[in-house]
Amino acid sequence: MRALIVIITTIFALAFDSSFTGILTLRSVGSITPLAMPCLVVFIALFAPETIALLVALLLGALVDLSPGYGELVGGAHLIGPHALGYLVTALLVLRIRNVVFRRRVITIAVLTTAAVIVTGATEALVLLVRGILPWTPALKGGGFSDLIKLFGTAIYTGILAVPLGWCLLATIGLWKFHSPTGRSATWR
Amino acid sequence: MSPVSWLGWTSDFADLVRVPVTPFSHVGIMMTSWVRPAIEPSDLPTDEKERNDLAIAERDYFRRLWTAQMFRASKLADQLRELQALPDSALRNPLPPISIPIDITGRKSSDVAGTLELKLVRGTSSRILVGDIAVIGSDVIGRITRVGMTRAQLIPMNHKDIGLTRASIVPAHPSNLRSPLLAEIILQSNGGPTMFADVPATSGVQTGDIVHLNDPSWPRSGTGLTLGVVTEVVQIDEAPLRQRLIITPRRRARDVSRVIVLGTGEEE
Repeated sequence: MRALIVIITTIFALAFDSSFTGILTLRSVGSITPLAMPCLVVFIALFAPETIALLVALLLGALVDLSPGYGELVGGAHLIGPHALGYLVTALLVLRIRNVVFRRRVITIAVLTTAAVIVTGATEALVLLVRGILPWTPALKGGGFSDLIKLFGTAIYTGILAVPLGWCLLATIGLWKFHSPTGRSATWR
Repeated sequence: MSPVSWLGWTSDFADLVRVPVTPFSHVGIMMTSWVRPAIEPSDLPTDEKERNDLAIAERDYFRRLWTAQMFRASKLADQLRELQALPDSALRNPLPPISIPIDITGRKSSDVAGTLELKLVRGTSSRILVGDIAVIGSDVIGRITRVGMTRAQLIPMNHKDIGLTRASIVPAHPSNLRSPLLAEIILQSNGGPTMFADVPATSGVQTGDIVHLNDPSWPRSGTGLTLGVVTEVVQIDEAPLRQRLIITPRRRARDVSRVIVLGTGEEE
């Protein structure tokens, strides 16, 4: 897998999630906003070798945690972990099922991206919950049914956005130079 | 799982990581504000007669203010004559705030109360201090919470970390029938799209009234700036003599690409 392509795509995905998505925000329904990064994580997890996919997912999650508005603590410090672990779990799940799905279909990427947002959200909630239990960290505030609905809304909207994004990623798959460890039988789909 | 005090390095690390992303985010924010511009707040009545009545009421109100200011000016002139007798060192005033336009380069669009990332340009970092106020027009939109190597961080007024803020409520349209100062409140934020405060039920606050900053713990330059409008007045069942006001900011940083920071730092 070409590192340069991953870096460029990551920069675009981070910039997209921290600025361009404002165009697509549904302000009247709780500011539901689609995300580009879960789509990229799913795409890499579908095609990259297993170890690299896990490492890249962890790294992309850490970069998201360092983005404005994510995991910010007192004094501008960032909490690295909720998205890093969330994307790692997502990549693990995608790696488990990627041999039984049609990988080169946009609809596969869209559905898996929807699932990725929910899995990441659940992992994030778990991490924050565990952190809130610890005596040296403040207790978790917020959450609840409205946030759950918002998570599902974000997941569906991100899945819809994954259709054009997934198409773009699949169109450029030759540039990524993925080498599948399982041979030709795993890549023909 | 580490305590917050051990995570200070992450802020510098985030600064470095954001360097390659910032130019693209900047373009994205500009494009977003161009495609989906903010709706300009207008609280003027649409009916022509109402507008004329309002204009007359405002004229009378400002005429009274002018008269009051004339008396005040005479009084201040007397004080000035006394101060002129003091040595020069006693007359030095603190530096006035400097208006610095700053571009927004990152935000989490799904979070209406989320923090914003501001681009620091050469020569501005020393002028902006933690706690400085960011405005759009006469509306306060937030405070600076951190000034890093390459970027600054802004929290909007409805962010939960903004804390308790003292403010005053004045009528949206001055008239003889209503007091010019309706109530002094302690404003709170809970991370949602609005803020809230409690007032006595007899205060006479109505929907549409304006909330102005009046907090000595904020920079002096922010006094009198608008924090929002009262959008809902709710009777508190547990305390029949009090009402809860729901206050909505008129302007939001997420709808624009640039804010003005009233910098209180000294020029390099």
